[in-house]
Amino acid sequence: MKRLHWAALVTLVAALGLAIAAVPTWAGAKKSYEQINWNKPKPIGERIGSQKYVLPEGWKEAVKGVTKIKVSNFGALEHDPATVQNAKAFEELTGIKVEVLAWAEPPIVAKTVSIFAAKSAAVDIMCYDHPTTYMQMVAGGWLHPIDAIWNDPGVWKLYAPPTKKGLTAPDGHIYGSIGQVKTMMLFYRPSVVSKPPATWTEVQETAKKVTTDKMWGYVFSAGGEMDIVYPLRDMIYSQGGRMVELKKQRIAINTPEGKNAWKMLTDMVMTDKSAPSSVLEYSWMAASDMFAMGKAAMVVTHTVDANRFQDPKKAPNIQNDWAVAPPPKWDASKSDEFHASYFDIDGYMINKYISDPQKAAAMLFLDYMRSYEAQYRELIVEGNEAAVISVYDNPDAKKIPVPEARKAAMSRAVLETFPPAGRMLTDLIKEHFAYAIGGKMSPAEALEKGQKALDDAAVPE
Amino acid sequence: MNASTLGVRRFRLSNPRYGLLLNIPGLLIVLLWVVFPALLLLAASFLRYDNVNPVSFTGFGNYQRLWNSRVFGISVERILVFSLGSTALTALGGLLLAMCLSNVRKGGGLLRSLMIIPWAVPAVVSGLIWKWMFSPDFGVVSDLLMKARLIAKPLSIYSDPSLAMWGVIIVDSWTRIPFMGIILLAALLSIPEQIHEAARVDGADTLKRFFYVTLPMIQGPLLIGLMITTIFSFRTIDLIIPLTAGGPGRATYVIGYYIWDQITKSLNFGLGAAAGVVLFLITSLITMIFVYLLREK
Repeated sequence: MKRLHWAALVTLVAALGLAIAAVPTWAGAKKSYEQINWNKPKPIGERIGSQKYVLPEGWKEAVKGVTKIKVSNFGALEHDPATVQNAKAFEELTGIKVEVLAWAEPPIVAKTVSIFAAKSAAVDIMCYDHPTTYMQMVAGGWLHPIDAIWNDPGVWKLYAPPTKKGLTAPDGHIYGSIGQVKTMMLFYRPSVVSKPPATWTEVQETAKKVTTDKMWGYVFSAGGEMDIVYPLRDMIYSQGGRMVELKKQRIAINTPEGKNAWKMLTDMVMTDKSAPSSVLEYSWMAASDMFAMGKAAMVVTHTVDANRFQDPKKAPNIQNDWAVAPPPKWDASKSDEFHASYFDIDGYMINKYISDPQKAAAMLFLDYMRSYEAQYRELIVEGNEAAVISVYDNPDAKKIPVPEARKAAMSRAVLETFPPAGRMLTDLIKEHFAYAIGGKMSPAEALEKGQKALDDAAVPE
Repeated sequence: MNASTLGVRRFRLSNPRYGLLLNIPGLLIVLLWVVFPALLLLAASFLRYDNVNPVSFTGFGNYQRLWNSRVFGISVERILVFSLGSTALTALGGLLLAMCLSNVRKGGGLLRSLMIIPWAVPAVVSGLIWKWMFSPDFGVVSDLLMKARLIAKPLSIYSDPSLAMWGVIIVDSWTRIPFMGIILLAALLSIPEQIHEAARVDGADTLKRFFYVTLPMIQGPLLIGLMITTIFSFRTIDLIIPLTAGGPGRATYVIGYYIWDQITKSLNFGLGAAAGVVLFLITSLITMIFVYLLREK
């Protein structure tokens, strides 16, 4: 009996000791990712904005035990050399292996949603298309907030003006960060287009003049998801308009600017015959393909396509016969600030279902990817744009085509974030554009019905 | 002295108890992979689960939304057209193929192996190949037809809302004809030659033999082939995504695409689940019709 009493007493003391030792955890001891001091040894803006990235204080303790992080990527890695190099550089800096998962683009959102819906920790960092899916992902409640890595007023000065507003969710928190950025430029054939058009009205006129039975004057895509939104959006921005009414979370295309853009695009196909009706089956790369094959005199597409156009194997018919110009402004009455295209962020977001040390490592990776060092590789190695504007002032940037025009385009680019179900809503635009081109409705009727469909489908306030 | 006298039961696999035991793994798989997900789907269809608002019970709210949805209505109409067209063309093509192959003596084995190829190619790959072949800008079909002066300008099948569905039906049938052909070939080859001979002796020509001898005798396998083809056609989107992405102008926007969009673009799991239940009910109804016809047969 005496032995039993002693055993019970020892057990009780041990249990009490364990409980007391766990108090720091109960009392809200710092989570792993809270141990990192992002503003030390320097404020964030200085730390990531200098040519050599500086790790923040406390990172080693925060990521203790983390050996690997998994990051999803849009498409195959052979097309993303900068991503591969950046991941390697991060590994060398931190010792944390980065496994980049090459996910084919059409089902990428489905895969991302599957992981979140299953509350799986299988992937730490998900790539996402900011304009169309950010709000959706935020609304789903699946993301880990990353305000801490943006907690320095100086950091926003590194990026284009719309970045802060674009990344800030309606609840005031930030859940996304920058991976790759893009904007659009006008590519044209100097042998056919002697002077690059500066305005969309000039693009339309020039296209009419240079169209032959072997080459279209202008091409754009309207067949895949989101495709028609690219030219529509650019034309709207070039007039100073916007597509998204933020307060009402509504997409508006029947604004005066939207009507002008819609008319121009439908006229090019139906009236001018300077763009093919087969735009209805073009996916987002098909228009660039047409230009690369020498079957189009002009195209507005992502600057990264320059890599393809300068490759004699991929674009044999246009070698030494292509050039780049700023995205057009609407017409001559607009000032140069309206040489505007959309600001596309292929961003990263952190899965909230991973462990705290993994979150710390993931935040560190996001911190690195938006830095000058990483964005330098995006511009120089891969041919994307650089989110950190000062990268364009680097001497190496002079080697890329039209660096000044690209810097200006990035500084003026417009970032709009679509409401939840953004991709579903833009399908309605694609549908009604096809009704106009296919002759089911007049262009004006198709625009009005398309707007009505957008309003009916919009998420309630 | 034997096992019986010792009171030892002999192990017999033919004993129904063991049959039941051996079925348990299969039943478990069916329960886990078919029944349980189907019940989850049904449950989700009664929820407001749009990943924007908190998940809540909404009764028949999702079904009401489907009923009032213009886009869902389009998808139902499109899937009926697609299924009817694809099944009819598959049946016709399969029957023709089977009849041709049934008369081949030499090299029949090789031909049968080759005819499987369209069926073996993944649907996504088939879609891409056909899209590229029919591209008005660089497709081989338009190029050859124009060089042969059969057409004056390139064909734009997949960018023409009035032709796109036909284009999709043709490709879908191309992938399914081998399967139908195999079923019908087996059925044709099982018809005793004496019956054809007797019909010939009675004065029946080829056409009459086909309608009064061949067709009635292959009715069973034909109905089974039609049933399977119809059910498969209702769930087709893997071909449509690369070919037309549901366009142009929703011309090829079938129910499967609607469900895909609800789940992956709208993230409205409740509405997608309800559409899935509706699709399940439609295919069940069609299956029951075919089963009834088969029983009658």
